[in-house]
Amino acid sequence: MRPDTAGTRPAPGGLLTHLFSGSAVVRLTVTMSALIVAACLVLSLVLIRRHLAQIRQGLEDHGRMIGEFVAREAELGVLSGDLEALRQLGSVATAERDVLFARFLDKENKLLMAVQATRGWEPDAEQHDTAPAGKEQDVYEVRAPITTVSAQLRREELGFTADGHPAREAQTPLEQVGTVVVAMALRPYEEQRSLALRTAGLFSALITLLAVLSTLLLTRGPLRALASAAELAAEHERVAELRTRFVTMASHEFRTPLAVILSASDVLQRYSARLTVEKQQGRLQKIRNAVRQMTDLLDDVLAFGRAEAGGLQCTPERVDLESLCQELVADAQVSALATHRLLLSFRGPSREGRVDPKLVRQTLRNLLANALKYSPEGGTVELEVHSGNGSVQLRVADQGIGIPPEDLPHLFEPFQRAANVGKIEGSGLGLAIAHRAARAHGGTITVHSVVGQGTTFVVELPPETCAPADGGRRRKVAS
Amino acid sequence: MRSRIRTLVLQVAIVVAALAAGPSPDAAVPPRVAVVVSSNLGPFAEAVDAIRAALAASVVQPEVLIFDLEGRQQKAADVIALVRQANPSLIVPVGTLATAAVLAGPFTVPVVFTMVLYPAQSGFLSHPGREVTGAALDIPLDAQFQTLRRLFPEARHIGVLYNPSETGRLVEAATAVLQRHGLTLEARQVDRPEVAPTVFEELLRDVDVVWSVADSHIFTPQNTSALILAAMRSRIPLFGLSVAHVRAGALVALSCDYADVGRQTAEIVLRVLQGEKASALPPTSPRKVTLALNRRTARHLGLTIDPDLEREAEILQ
Repeated sequence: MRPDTAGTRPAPGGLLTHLFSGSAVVRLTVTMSALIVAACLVLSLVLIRRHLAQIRQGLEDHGRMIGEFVAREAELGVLSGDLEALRQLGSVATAERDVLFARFLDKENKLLMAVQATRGWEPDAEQHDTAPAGKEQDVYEVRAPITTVSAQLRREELGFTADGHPAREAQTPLEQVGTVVVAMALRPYEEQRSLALRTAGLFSALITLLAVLSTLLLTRGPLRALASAAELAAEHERVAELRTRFVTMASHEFRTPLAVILSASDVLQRYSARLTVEKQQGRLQKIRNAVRQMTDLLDDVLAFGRAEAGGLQCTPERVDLESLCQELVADAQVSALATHRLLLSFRGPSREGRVDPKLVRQTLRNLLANALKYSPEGGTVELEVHSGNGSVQLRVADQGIGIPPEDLPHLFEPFQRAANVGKIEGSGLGLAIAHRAARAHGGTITVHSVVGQGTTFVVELPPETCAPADGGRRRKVAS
Repeated sequence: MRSRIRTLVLQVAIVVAALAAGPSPDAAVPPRVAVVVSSNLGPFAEAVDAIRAALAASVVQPEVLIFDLEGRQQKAADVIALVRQANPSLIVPVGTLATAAVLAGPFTVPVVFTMVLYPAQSGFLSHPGREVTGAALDIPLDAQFQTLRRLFPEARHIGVLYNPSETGRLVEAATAVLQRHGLTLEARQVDRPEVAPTVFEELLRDVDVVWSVADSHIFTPQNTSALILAAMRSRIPLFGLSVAHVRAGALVALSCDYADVGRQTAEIVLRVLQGEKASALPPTSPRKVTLALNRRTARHLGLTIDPDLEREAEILQ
């Protein structure tokens, strides 16, 4: 069997291109939404940075204040080496919020005393200057110098101010005698940062969602209009192509029988007296065949036209499938004469089915005609009917030329014919009509084909379901 | 018959002798010693423990009763009343507060004070008709200034803060002693504790070394650190009063062994209980005196300590 295959319907004319190039409103809306999202993200980041900087600054200021206070009070303890005094001072410092430990170093940077808070990590006594490895990111260290007056100034060394008072303070230089290191926990900062990032993430997601929803809302109207316009344009394009294909097909398919009629009628007109009765009957038969061919073609065109216009109505009724199929096989056998063998078989518990006889007849007639047309002489065409549980399955198998895989996707489109049909005539409407008839019935039609071996079509008609009037127009089923 | 008479006479003689001798309370009841402690400070506790141990180890083995003023003068009347009820044979006040309270009380029993600084200057020895003596904490001025000279041989001007009513007589005595050593004492009076730091800063400009006297107008808890820090900042050595001062930053101090002072006290108590008159026993000075030295302070002051002295000293920091 070599089925007629329908031509490729063009994609609906670059819809996205239409969307983004056709409407300034859409472009403006999308751009504005993107700008809003970007602005919100930038604003969030700036606010987060500022917020975190404030937290960090607060932490540093707090640490510095504690460090300076402790350094002031630690002067005597460091000078005298009074470890108990330093320990008490360290306890005061570590009692402060976020302070992890306090260390007192002497002038040579040797550790005098380390006091840790009851919370946090334990400082390593041997590491005087830095926090333990791997902990730097958790701790902010404040270092404050511990100073003292560098030297005694005797009376004779003292300067005097204009009013006669000694200007000792002004002349007394400070000497660093040690360092206090106060470690602040960065955990509050890290927590705030994490919280801010989470908040920003949620905020950004919300803004993005709002922007997208706004975009969709604002562009819904224009998008619909554009989609409709694109669809309309595609439909016009499709109709125009159908028209072209129809003209091409008609001019080709009608010319041959018309030529036959003209030729046969000329011969009869000019030479009828000299022709034998048999030869005259032969010429007349040719004219009748040509007329029938044209009639069949016109029937196909009309049927397809009805299907396209939604005129295929499904009216299911209880049908004797055996009689129906025997009638169809007999009709097909007449066309096939003795060159092909047609086999009819039934499976399943019932030989009846609730179907629309017109649609079934239309479907099977086209499938059988195709099977015979594209099968070699002597080939066998099988029609197998399976009825049960209310559903009906019709299977038409041939041993024909088969369908190339690349043609399968377009199999049920009108006026399309496979590449391997050669000179076999056909309108390219048969399978399109069969497909639309099956769809109008709420059923499906599937195909399995191997080039050079044959093709099998399976029509599945579900129990008492009929598709909408135009249901088969746009959908196609192929395997 | 004669032997009967002889026996009767002997029995009468024994009874008369027994009656004449009477009951001996000393032999039956041990003497009672009341120890009145000024407060529960560590040095006081150390001394009291030593007193109890020494008395318990003695032949007399007096009964020791402890009374505590808890550092409050207001409690003195109640404690004194309790001591009277106890009817002790001897009272041992520990510290200045307890000594003053006991001497103000209506006691006629001997008083052996201990852990008291400057008892003479405080007037503790000038109670006519009272049997008073004790173990003072005073380290003799001579000993103090000898140490000072060994530490600072080039020092000429020695400074001191004092309150005339409390330590005026001690400072007078010190002036005389220092003169013998060829030194000058720059003594500045302090009327109120609040002015001590200011007066001290002025003093520091004029002296080479500061010597300290135990004066409650000077070394108050609020002042002590400020005074030590001022001396440190001015790089003037401070001769402190105790190991605590040295630990806090004073360069040196002479400190005594409080347990040994307690043992000295117990020795006096036993002598009085055994019949010696307290007023005949002069107050003692500490037998064991230690020099405490803060090496870190010395380093800050830029001082080099005599190695012999350093060997003798208890080094802190």
